[in-house]
Amino acid sequence: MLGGSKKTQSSTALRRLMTEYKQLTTNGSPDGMFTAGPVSEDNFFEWEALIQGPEDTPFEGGVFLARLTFPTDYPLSPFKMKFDPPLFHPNIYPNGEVCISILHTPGDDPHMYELSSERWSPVQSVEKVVLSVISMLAEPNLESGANIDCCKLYRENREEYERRVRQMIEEQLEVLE
Amino acid sequence: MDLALALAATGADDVSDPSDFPESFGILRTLDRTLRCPICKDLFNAPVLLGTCGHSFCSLCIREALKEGEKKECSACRVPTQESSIKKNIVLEESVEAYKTARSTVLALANDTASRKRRREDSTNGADLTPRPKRVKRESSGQDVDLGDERLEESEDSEVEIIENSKAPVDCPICDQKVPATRINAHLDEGCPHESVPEDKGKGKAQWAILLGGPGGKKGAKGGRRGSGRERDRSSSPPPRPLAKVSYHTLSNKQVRGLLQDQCLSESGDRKQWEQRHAQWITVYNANLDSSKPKSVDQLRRDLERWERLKARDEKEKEARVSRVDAKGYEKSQDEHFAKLIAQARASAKGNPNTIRQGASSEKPIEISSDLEMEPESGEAAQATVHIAL
Ligand SMILES: [Zn+2]
Ligand SMILES: [Zn+2]
Ligand SMILES: [Zn+2]
Repeated sequence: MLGGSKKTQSSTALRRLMTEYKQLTTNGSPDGMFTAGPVSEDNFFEWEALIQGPEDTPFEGGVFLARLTFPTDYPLSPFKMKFDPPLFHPNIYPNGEVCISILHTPGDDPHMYELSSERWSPVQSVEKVVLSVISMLAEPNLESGANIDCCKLYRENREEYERRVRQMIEEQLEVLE
Repeated sequence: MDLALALAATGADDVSDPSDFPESFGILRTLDRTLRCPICKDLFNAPVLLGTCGHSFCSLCIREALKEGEKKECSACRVPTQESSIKKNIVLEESVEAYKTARSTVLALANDTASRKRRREDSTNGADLTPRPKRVKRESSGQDVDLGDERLEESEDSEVEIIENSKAPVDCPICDQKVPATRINAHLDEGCPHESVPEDKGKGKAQWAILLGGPGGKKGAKGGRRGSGRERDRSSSPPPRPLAKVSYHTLSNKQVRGLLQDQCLSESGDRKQWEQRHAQWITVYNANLDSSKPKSVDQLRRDLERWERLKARDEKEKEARVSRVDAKGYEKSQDEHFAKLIAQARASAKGNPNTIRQGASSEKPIEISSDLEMEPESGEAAQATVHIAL
């Protein structure tokens, strides 16, 4: 019954994704900071996550949608994460893609200074990655910038950066009204 | 959507995880968690120990992880390692097998106790503070601790053994043969000749019998490769050795086909598929050697074929989905749900920070796209069904 003959009927990736989804559904995320799950029942390799802007940051009060795209060899390779619509943040590319070391494999390193200890390994999970992204929202990593203008603004004019972020949240709320 | 149905549709309806146990049985959740592979999150299947750091994984999981990464490191702690550091974790396997047998009973007992407790609390309104569940709890927690300790000690012991016992054979990093530690340098210098090492006592020859006459047992496929197949042909009946890895880029198409023929594997597909098939074969074959109940080689070949079919299916579906998702513009159906969250966000901005928190945590994105055909409480319904399905 457990891990028996049925086990081989679904691929490793699919089983892992189902397990993670089941766990997130049953336990929820810490403090209910985000939710995540497959987009539809016939599509377990495309998830989306709804993430609350962390408190005491300019992102507070926002709710952000991110697409998670899993490779067929997950969890050996990491998934991709893309905010839709994109967020104005030093570590998020203007197209919304998140640049964070935990989603880079040791071999694939756009930023040589990322510690390999912070990179992807098959024991990481959706939950760990999303929590890392939430803490990245609160504390950008200027060493691995993805949005150069935003990095510059963050460094040189924090007040204006925070205003831009709040303005972005306002605009997103309006667009989607 | 109904999670149980979805699981059934994917063939993953036997997915289990620690949260199957009622919340009041945290100790059982802990026990369940410690017996799971950190890579696949399933209960360990042919668990092995990395001698370099002491972490355990399913043999197949860690072998695939080491195959994938350019850097060979423990997936859990990133300490550098290599395939030759993989050792069977016999006590862990016994524990897990025993636990697999007991799990459904333990789960039923726990659920039963939890629901009885709930009913009693409903009727007495929490006046009587449950002496019975407490007793169960203490017993189980005793077991939990014992098992955990035993496992820890055992893994430390075997690690020490590996390091200290210099007379024990070591695995040659090149050909994966067992070589007496005192001879390993000479062995490497001589270019990996066949070594005869006294076998572990009590290995259970009968157990290996089903594996013999499998790969390498088929003679005469000459391909001019230095392969581990040669050594096995010669040996009369020692336990099969792990297959050596191959650097395909140095080989001609003919040689790669030869490798497949040696192992009685299909030669269909293109060169890339041949290499993937052969590499995966080495991985599953070697992982199977770590199981105390090894599958027959024929069964492994069937598993490999299924693996290829599933992989192809996943890849094809994934491609199809990308276009489907783009085409149907499912964002539309999202808007409604998103608007709800935004309304909550607005409310919270107006001074009630808790609204959003609760709101967001009770919403599951999975419900969004199927809003049309769903009743509002399906999130809970899905969870309930999962319980039953397990
Ligand atoms: Zn595993
Ligand atoms: Zn480790
Ligand atoms: Zn050798």
